[in-house]
Amino acid sequence: MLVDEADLLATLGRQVLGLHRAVADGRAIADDPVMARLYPAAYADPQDAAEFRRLASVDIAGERIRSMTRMVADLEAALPTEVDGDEVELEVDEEGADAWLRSLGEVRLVLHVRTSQEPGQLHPDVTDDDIAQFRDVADWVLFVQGTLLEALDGRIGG
Amino acid sequence: MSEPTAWATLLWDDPITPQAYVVHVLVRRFGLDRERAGELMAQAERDGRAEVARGAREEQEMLVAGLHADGLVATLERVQP
Repeated sequence: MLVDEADLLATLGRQVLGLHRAVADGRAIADDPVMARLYPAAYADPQDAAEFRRLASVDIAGERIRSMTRMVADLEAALPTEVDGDEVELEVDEEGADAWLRSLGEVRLVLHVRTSQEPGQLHPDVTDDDIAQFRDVADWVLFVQGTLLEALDGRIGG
Repeated sequence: MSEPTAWATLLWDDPITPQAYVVHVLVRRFGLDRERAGELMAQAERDGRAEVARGAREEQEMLVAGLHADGLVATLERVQP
């Protein structure tokens, strides 16, 4: 992975961590489409869904904070302190791989939902170029996740 | 303490998440072989949703919470036992 890519992924990971921390602290925005996708309703009935959220979302957020923290920490550890090349080497063990798969998926979900929103719903400073760039990043994250899945499933033996 | 009604965990079609990831999660969480996991994923894609587990409500809530933690869209629903 290139240094710039690792740096960007760590930044996006920290942003998603902020979303999960908001859920863990009970201050998440309920009508944000990103939150609706990351924390979907568990029941068709709105009352049951609200009750499930009240009981389960802090634990779900906690699990996700653990896995995202792992990916961000791996990236930060791999990033060079001095400029000594364009690439970073990342080695991930099996437990780390699951954390990475999940975290890459979350980063991509967030980018995907944001870039699919109507322009008027986004921050006024976000330009079409920004959105095009987010889409490229989402495609790249999909590629990284796919590569990791192939490596994992190959090792398990199909 | 018998539960008169059963509950099912439903996995919903999700065009954003890659198929290989859905299969991976089903294998990991439900101990399915890859072929069965692939069938359930394809069923969700075809029908909009697929039943991936059935049992007591509390148990199904745990499964739904796990699938949500993995980024998938899942619900639980009362079914005829």
